[in-house]
Amino acid sequence: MTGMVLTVKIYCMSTKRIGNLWLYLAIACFLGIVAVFFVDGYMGVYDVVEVRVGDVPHKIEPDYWERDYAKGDGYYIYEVRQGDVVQFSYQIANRRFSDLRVDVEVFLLEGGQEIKELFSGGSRVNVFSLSPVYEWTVDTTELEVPGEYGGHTYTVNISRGGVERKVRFQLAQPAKYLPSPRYE
Amino acid sequence: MKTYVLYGFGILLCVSGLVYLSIEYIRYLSEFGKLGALFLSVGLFASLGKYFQGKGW
Repeated sequence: MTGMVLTVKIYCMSTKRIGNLWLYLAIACFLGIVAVFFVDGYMGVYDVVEVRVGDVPHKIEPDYWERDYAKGDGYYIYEVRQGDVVQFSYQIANRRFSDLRVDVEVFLLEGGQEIKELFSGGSRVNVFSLSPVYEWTVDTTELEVPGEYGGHTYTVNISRGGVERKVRFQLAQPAKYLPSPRYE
Repeated sequence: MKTYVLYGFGILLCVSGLVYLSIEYIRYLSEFGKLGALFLSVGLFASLGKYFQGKGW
């Protein structure tokens, strides 16, 4: 009799345990997803490039650079006209458990040839913190005057320890505004 | 009844947590990370399904 009661008791406990096992497994899966998102999605070194052409802002988020076409061609800005001042800002986020030493070099290129150094500098970025905002400008009045039907393509090459970010723009002539029609 | 309300609340928190993580960080996941997260999501919902099946739902 005692043996039978014990068997039933063990059976009930094991059934309960198996029932709870699915719950524990679900919790483990949830924690696993959180861990994947944290380790693979959050941790690492990320950088944000912001470009302002006149009043038009362009914010290039870190995920943009992961795309295949971005790796080769970079980010393309269309609406740059001669006379515009193109302002750049660049910031790095160090989401790692160790400090990061960054050296940033920025060059302006035309047809693969370096024509001007725009910025050079660096700093140490602490654990899980942001670097200072690095800023520079491209004054398009200093660049070659574009033709009427096409302009020169310039590339701003941002390099940081083997990582390169390219921002390209085609310089066009200043906008021409037609006089408003007169109705007489 | 109170227990099931708590379960429902817990599940709601889990799902909202997953939605938040997906919106915020899925862009930065590698292909292996995405695949891993997909398998774990399937495991999560399958386990919850089996758990509630065992409960008689």
